Amino acid sequence: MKIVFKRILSNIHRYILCALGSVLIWTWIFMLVTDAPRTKKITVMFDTVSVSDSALAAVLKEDVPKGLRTVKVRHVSYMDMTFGMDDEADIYIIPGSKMEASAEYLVPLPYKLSDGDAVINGEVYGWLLNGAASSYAVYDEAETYYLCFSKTSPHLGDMNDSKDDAALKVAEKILSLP
Amino acid sequence: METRIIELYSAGEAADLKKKRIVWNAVSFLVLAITLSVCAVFCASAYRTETFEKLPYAIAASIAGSFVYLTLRIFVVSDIKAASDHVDAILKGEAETVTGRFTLTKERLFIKKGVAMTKVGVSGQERISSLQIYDKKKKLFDAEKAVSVKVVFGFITAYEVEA
Repeated sequence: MKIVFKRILSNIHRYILCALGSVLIWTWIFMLVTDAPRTKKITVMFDTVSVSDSALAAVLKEDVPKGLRTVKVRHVSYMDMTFGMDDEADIYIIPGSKMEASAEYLVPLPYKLSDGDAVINGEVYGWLLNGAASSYAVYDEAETYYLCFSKTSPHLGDMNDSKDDAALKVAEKILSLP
Repeated sequence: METRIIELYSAGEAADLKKKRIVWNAVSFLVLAITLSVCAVFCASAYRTETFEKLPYAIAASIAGSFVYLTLRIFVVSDIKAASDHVDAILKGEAETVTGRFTLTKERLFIKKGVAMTKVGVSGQERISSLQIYDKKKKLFDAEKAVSVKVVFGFITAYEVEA
C-alpha cells in the first residue's frame, strides 16, 4: 500500500497536468466549435446596464437569416472596448451619451425610422430603440438608446456593399421585440 | 545423490508477458479512444446548440479518462514492460552456478524500472555473500532445499534440489 501511494505521489505531476490540460484544451475546443467566422454570424453588442445574452440570442436565432450560422449577443464591457474585442460586432446598442464618440465606428444609415433617431452632422447614425427588447436588456433610465451598425460589418447589404443584409434583418427583429 | 533442477524462468513466460503487454497497451489506448469519443459527442452537441452547456461534462470525462489511462500506464503497462524486459534479459544472459546454503531474507530492493527483488543470503561461499531473486519468483524458490543455484547477472534463475 505504501509503495502504491509512493508511486502515485511520484507521478502526481502527470495527474495534475492531465487535469489542467483537460480544462484548457476542451475550453479552447468548445470556443472554436461554438463560434463561427464573421461572415457566418451576426454579433450584437449591448452597451446597456446588462443583457440576458443567451436568452436574447436564442430568440434571435429562431429565424437566422439564410446563409448565416448563428447570432451572438454580447455585453460591451470595459475589457471589450480597451482591447478592441468589439471588432467583430455588426450591431451596437449604444446610449445617446456615447453616440458622438462612437460615430467613427458606425455606418451612416440610409433613412430615418423616427424623429428621435440619432443624427450627427446631418447623417443618421442610430435608430431610436424606444424600449425595444427591454425584456432582455436592462437600460439606464436616464439614457436614450440607439441601434447602430458597425461600418466593418459584412452583413449590411448596399450600405457598405456587403453580400447580404442579414444585420438589417436581425436589427428589424430586435426593434420588434417587447 | 540424485538431484533435479527447477527452472524459474522460461521462454513461455516471456511470450506470455509480451502478449499481456500488447493486451494492456491496447486496453489503455482503448480507454483513451473512448474518452476522446465521448468528448467528441459533447463537442458535437456544443456545435449544434452553440452553447457551453456540455463543457463541464467534456472536462469531467476527459479528466476521468486520462486518469484511468495514466493509472493503467503507470501501474500496469510499465510493470509488465519492466517484468518482460527483466525476463528477456535473464533468458539471454549467461548463467553461472553458485553452490552453498541459501536463506531467503526479508530485505527487498528495486532494480531498474522498479522491478522488486528480494535478497537471498549465501553461506559457505567466499566469493558471493548475497544474490537476488525476482519477487514474483520467491514463492517458487525453496531456499532450504536448494543445494546450488543458477545465476544470471546476480539474479537466481534456477535451483537444484536433492531428489
